[in-house]
Amino acid sequence: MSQSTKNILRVFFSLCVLILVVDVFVPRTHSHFVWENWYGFYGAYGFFSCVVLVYIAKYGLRPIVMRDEETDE
Amino acid sequence: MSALHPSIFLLLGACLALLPRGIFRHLLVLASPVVAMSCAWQLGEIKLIASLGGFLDLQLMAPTVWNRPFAVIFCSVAFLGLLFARPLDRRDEDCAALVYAAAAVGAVLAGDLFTFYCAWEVLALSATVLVFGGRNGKSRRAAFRYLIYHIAGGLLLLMGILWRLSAGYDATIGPISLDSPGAWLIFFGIGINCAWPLVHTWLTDAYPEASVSGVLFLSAFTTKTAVYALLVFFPGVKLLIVIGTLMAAFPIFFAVIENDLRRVLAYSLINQVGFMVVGVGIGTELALNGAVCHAITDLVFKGLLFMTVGACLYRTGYATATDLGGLAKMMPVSAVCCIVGAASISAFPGFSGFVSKSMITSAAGSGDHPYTFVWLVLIFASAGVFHHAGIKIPFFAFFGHDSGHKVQEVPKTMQAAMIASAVLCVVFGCFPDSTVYTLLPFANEYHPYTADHILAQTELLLYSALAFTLMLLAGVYPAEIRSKNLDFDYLLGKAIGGVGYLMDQGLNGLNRLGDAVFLRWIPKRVAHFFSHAPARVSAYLIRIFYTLRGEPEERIQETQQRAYHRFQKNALPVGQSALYAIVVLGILAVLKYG
Repeated sequence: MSQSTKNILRVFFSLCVLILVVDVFVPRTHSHFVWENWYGFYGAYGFFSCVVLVYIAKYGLRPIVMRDEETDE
Repeated sequence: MSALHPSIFLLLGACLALLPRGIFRHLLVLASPVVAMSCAWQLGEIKLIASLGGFLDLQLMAPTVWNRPFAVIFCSVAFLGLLFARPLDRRDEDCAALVYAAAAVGAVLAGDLFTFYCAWEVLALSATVLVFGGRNGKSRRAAFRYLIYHIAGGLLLLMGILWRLSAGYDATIGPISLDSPGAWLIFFGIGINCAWPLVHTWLTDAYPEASVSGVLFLSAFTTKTAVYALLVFFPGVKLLIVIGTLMAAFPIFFAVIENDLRRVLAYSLINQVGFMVVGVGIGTELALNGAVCHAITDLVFKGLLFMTVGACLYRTGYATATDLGGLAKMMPVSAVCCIVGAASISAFPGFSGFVSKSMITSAAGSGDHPYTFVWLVLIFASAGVFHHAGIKIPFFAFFGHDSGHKVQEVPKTMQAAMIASAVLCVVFGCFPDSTVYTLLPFANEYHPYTADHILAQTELLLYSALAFTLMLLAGVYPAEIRSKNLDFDYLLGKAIGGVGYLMDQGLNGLNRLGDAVFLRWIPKRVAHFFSHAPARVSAYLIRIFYTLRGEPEERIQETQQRAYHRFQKNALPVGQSALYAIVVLGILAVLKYG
């Protein structure tokens, strides 16, 4: 991994931490549901939904639908 | 105020697109959507009605608060797409694109169902020409499949319209309640163009096969015209919430494992249209505003994303993740524009998706009876679209591994189209109140830029990106594989094959049965009867006659056998035949005159 990639990753991880710090201070005024007020709800939801998404697509969907590029079924 | 139909200028442009190649042709082709847009912008209340000899009045143009924004934005994206298409310099495609745009504008501006239907069919035909524009075997086959789907959809629509007219409803465009078969036919006819689940495969099948520029128009008009149709015909139909939620969710899974980046964008197109359909289904003012707003922003950012992937395809000849990567250094403008498009579709604060998508999620979550599950799926879909379109497209096209291509940035006109689209995305995102929100049908009271909304959306996206990064670093992320993924059309193909098999077994079986019974068994029995009956009868008569005469048994049997053979071979002596004939004639004579 090149140095610039490492720097980008560092900035990115810092942002992830920073947003959790900001999350403490932002008042919830426009929530529709209770769980929107929970600390870090959106982060957790985004993270886990993407993990679930990738696992289902990779291990659930791909074995069923993937074919060779040239097949014409 | 203007009483000129914008499509006139687009159709004029389509004719001028066929002029000989040169700068003059380019200018005329670009001028026509600009003039059409200024026309659409100035549309007032004036209707344009063509009277067909008193028995039918076609409302060619009936501007409302609903169709004006669509007409304006359709003309704008037609301009941007044509600008991008300049270096390709293809006369047939420019012509088809302008006819296609004219049909889309004609369909949304139509004031009655007949005009709407005619424009709808032109839309399908001109789009087929654009799919053909890929100019290879794959695109040709895809174009035929595309045409079959859309002819089916168009026929459903036509049947629905005729059904309603014969039931005494009038033909003006307006909300239709789903209470008659006619209404359902219209509903499903529009649904095919809207790429509803199970009938969505024409979209992911055909769009990636079109040319670099053809796909820009394809991605813009057909589905958005269908969204407009749902908006005016079926606002607040709850079934649309279910359909839209499915559309928002399922394509994400396919997009994650897809290798062809234009197909990834096609899946994310269905996903974005899903948000709009949910908005139409919820049917509150906020939701309908959201659907219109998201249609407008989507037209621009989806066009932009297709342009940037098209730029890679134009320069390298590839649009697949396995063959692209590391192009950012050579194509910096395309790369930056791609990131802007990706940020817009992902609804990053400051970009256009943020101000429009949130209207729909907010509408799903508000009210006395919020759609909790729908809301959760939409938030999941927002994270998912960021995952596959927001990160995957720029990452695999412009970053990631070095694909080894030595290419230049795309020509200036292509860059101009991309930059203009990117600027629109940022302007819509940063200043919604003075741009997109002014086009909405209802007065807007929604404000996207609140502290908690910005935080929530940023947090959602950052942690989705974190999931992507960590899975990529850990090697969990599905490797890009040269492959093709089957979709529901595979099942449809199997189903059609199954129907064929059943037909073969059922109808041909019936045929075989009829053949065996009526052509073989019955004639055989009849022939047998006529060849054996007289011989048997004569054998019995001989036995009775000879027994009475007291003849010995051997003689009886010998005579019986001889008579039997003679009858069977029709070898009776002439005298006997004549005797039988006279007897029969005598009986007839007695019967007649006796």
